[in-house]
Amino acid sequence: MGELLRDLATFVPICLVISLVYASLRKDGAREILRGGLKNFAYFTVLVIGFEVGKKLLLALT
Amino acid sequence: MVSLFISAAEMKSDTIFTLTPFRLRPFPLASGTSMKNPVLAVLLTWAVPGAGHFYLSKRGKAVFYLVILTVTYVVGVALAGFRNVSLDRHPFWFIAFAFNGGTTMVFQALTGKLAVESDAPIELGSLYTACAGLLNILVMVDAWTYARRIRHG
Repeated sequence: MGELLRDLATFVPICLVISLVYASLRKDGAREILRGGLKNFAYFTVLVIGFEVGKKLLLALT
Repeated sequence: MVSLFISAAEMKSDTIFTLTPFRLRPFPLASGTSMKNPVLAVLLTWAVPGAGHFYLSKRGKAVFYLVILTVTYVVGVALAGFRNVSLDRHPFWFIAFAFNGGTTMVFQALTGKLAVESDAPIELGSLYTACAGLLNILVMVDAWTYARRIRHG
């Protein structure tokens, strides 16, 4: 559990940065960028958490 | 349905139009823009993230890119214990860092030859620094595209 949290703490900030930069390429204006970035961040974080949890489950099962 | 028609009210002299797969979308130009050199915009962005956008009169985005990419880069260097930006020690990571040219040159000069002993995880810090470098490629492409749009209308 601690390792999972550490991995998430590693990846979540970089997910936020990538999401914001990606949104800024497609949108103009601070509010639009923030909105688009947070939306991307939500998708991205779900993906990363799913990947990490799935990896741990698979390792635990095998 | 794909709409290729725009109303006359939308056609303003300071607006250019981009054809996306979905619709013909007006692309507003920042005030005070004139012919800009795309290559110069890319080179400026490579040297300092956001400098190309500043040159293209997109000041808000310029500050945004400068802050977010530089902070990510510096946080990565700090997490790695100031050991990761070194062409001799980590040549493969350095390829990714090099897209953030100016910052990499500064850190290579300051910390490249340092014999720093630290237990800090190189991979974690390098991940952050490499992301800042690779994201700068997207910013360079954005600066290039925007300058081309200005030039070719």
